[in-house]
Amino acid sequence: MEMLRARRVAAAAALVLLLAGCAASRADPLDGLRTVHVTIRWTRFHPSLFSFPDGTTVRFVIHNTDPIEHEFILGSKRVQDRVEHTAHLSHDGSVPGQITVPPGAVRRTTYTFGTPGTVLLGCHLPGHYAYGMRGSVLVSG
Amino acid sequence: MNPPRFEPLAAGGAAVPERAAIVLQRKKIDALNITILKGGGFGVGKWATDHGFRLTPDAPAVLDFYAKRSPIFMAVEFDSKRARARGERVGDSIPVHLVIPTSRPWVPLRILALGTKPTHAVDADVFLLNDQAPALLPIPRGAPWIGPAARGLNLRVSEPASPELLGDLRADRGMDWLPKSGMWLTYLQVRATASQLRYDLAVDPSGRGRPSPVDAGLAPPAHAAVTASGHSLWGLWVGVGILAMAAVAVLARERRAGRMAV
Repeated sequence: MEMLRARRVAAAAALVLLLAGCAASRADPLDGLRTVHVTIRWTRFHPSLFSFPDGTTVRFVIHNTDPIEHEFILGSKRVQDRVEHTAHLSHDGSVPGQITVPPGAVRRTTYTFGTPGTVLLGCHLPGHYAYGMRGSVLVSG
Repeated sequence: MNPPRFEPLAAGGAAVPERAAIVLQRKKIDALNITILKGGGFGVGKWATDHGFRLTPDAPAVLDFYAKRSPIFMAVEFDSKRARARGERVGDSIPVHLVIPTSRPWVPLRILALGTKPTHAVDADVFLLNDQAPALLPIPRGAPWIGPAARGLNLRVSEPASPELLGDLRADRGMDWLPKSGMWLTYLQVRATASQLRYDLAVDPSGRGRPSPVDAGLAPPAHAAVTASGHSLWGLWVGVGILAMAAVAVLARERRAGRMAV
């Protein structure tokens, strides 16, 4: 009984931690889209963990406070691997969830999270992904 | 964790206020193009990227680390065409003599690990000349002071500078200000991995024995960036060659013409 209670407490604590680690968002009064602000500082995404129900369309507003260029690339592991290992191109935002953010600039990109699972986030400028510039989105069913 | 709050932004707006770095001085020394800058971490980094320097992923954090201690930076570009024309070869060094008026000297060491993997070996030699034996922080291995020794920082020589050494140094251009005697020589070796090198070297040459933990990078600054004092510093001359390059090694630039200086 005691063990069961301890497990429940641990599960609740884990849930609270997960929620605390995820980004808060709110619907834009104009178009109803969820808007999430992401800050890039010292070659890291803040926050880097997100959670949305499947089918949600989210507008990400990315604030790059670093003096160097970064990328905001959402997609599966295959997408991350492809961008990481192909010749670097600037992402102009024409692909949903993929955009280059110049130093000190703010850029927006919109992405729809289709099916439940995990979508990865990363920057693939040389050395940035390996340095730890990555995150993930938990898409719930 | 809550997302940061921002004021409403225009499309394509700025994430940070523009605080451009100010160019204080430009100088060519052999194959080096040297620029002295004043600014914060963002302004200096932005200037560097705007001028073709390729900053590594850890550069924003390192620039902010140093900007909190001093607003003065030096960017060095290696002009390989000029080096070739001068007949310089791989392995040749270019000594740079800097005069930095300050009553609180410190030596940037952490920057030697910029852009390297945590296991990368960092080797450097640091020479100090002072009026008297200085107190150092962090405490190097082999030093007589009580306290935990820094990993990767070793004291090799601490003794009165010989007249021969001082005479040799005085013979260099612009070095006749150096006294003929009465100076103290300290020689330190840095033999660390990049992950160990999380400190700078604070030097207290006053005799009070109180080097600053802030200057050593062991404590955060209480206020804004430390500014250089107006007091002249003639008692300190920070080495040649490697040490100068350590101070210089802020930014790397790669040009089409060839490789760059680090």
